[in-house]
Amino acid sequence: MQADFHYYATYCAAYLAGYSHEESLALCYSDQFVDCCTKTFLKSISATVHAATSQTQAELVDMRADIIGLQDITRIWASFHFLPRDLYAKVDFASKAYKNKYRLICGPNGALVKDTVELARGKSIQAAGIAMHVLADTWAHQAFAGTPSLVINNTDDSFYEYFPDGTYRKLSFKHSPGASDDIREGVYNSTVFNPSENNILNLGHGHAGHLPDYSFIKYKYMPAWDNYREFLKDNPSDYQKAFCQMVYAMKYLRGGVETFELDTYEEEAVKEYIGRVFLILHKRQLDASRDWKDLAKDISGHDIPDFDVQTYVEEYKNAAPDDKDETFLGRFFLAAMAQKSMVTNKIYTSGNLLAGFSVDYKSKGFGGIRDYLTLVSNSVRNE
Amino acid sequence: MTRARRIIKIIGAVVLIHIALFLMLIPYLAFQLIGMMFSVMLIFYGLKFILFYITHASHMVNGKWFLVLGLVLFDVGVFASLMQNQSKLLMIIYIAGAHLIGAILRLIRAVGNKKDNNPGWIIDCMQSIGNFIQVAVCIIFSQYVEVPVFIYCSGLIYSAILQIIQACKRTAIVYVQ
Repeated sequence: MQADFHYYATYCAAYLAGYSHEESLALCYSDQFVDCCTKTFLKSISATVHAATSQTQAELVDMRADIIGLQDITRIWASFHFLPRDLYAKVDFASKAYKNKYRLICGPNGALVKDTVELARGKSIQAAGIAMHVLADTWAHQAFAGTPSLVINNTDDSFYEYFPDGTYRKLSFKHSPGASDDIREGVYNSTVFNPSENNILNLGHGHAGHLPDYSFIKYKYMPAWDNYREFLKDNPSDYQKAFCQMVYAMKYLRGGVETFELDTYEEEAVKEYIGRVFLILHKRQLDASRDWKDLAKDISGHDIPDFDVQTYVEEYKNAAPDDKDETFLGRFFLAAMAQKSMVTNKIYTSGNLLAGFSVDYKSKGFGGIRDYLTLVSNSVRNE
Repeated sequence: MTRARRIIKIIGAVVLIHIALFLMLIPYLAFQLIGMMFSVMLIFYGLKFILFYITHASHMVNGKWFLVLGLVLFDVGVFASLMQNQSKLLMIIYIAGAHLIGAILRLIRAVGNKKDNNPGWIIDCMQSIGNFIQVAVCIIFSQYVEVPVFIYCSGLIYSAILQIIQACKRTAIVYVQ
């Protein structure tokens, strides 16, 4: 998903869930900030690099494809952009190495989505924003894994776009970094084939280009892992579900709902605007920000400022060392580390080492990366 | 790129240049050495692809190609190891074959990049022409021992220089406040 959904649509969902204008702004900012919080950015403001929720292309290219590098990549991408659907999925006659990768395939309504939303309850607004980013991406990025893997993330060349009138056409791909997608001609940009299993080019949905990120497109293709079965990805329908599930999840986070149930979608609060949402999601355009922004104004009566990654930087930099955790970005970093820590622990306890080792503080005390001491002390303070 | 990684890359490249220069001085022995290295490398990659098929690619759409590729490489590697006394022929096949494949791949990439209006097509095209010239030189002067060794070693030096350039390249991203 892109800023149009992570920022503007999340604002609409937050407002419909009952958050105030200011809270909704902070929440959608945190949601979109997940795509900007890279190690490069963190170093520039002297924050811990372990709070990274994304990686720039340059960072990825620069990473070593050894076990430590792969675990670092997996922790970031599986925790925030490709949340695994089933860490205990059964695969017949497969090696452990293959199973570990297969079990990281992303999808909606998995147990980890529930864990993610529950983790954010009673926490900061930033934690809610992060949880909404993760939840929304489980719909957009389904069928791909947040770890470099040719055998999972590769795709067949046969992509077909389906139109509302029932017709379809074959899509073609080019591999020119930086080139833009051509909706009219059906020509999209994607990463080039690389036969090395752990090559960075085989991370996530690179082989399908940006198709999973566009709300309007409905397409069919053959993922590498699904035994020659074709996969129909209906983005408008999936994005609508994501929107309704976000409203429901945020109602839960605000305390309006007692328990968070999977496969449950808020329809009542969205009813009045569902027609507008439907139209935005079906409109053929690369960026739906303008339409979502207009809808946000109609819903709340406020203008939504454009996203600016610098908004809270000065506040963080000027804060005294002891007060940094109480700044907007400080709270975001804590929430990000909590999410990364939780997902890594779930993957590790499932017997899968692709995201690295996890030390349970409650049973074994503190161990591992020292920067996580902040998370521990914050958790102790809250308790 | 970390400083340690840059240093390792540069040291590796310098060592590679020295090996290439040394091989140029002993072309007759170099034939044998490169031939042996070539067969060991093919066997290694063959086994690697077969293992990859067994552990991963057997579950992947079109994954059988990895098994086919692995078996072919392994077979060619074993065959090459049995032909050590024919190392001159082996080396010409290897060098000419490798450059021919490189030339074709670069030409395909150049055509694709030109179609996409990517200016990088000119570099790809030049490299492709360079590869074709090396193939031609290799075949025309096949009776001279020094020529294929010289071409092979030039290739090693070229990749070592590229490695040094890459290690010295600035990779940090400028952060504008």
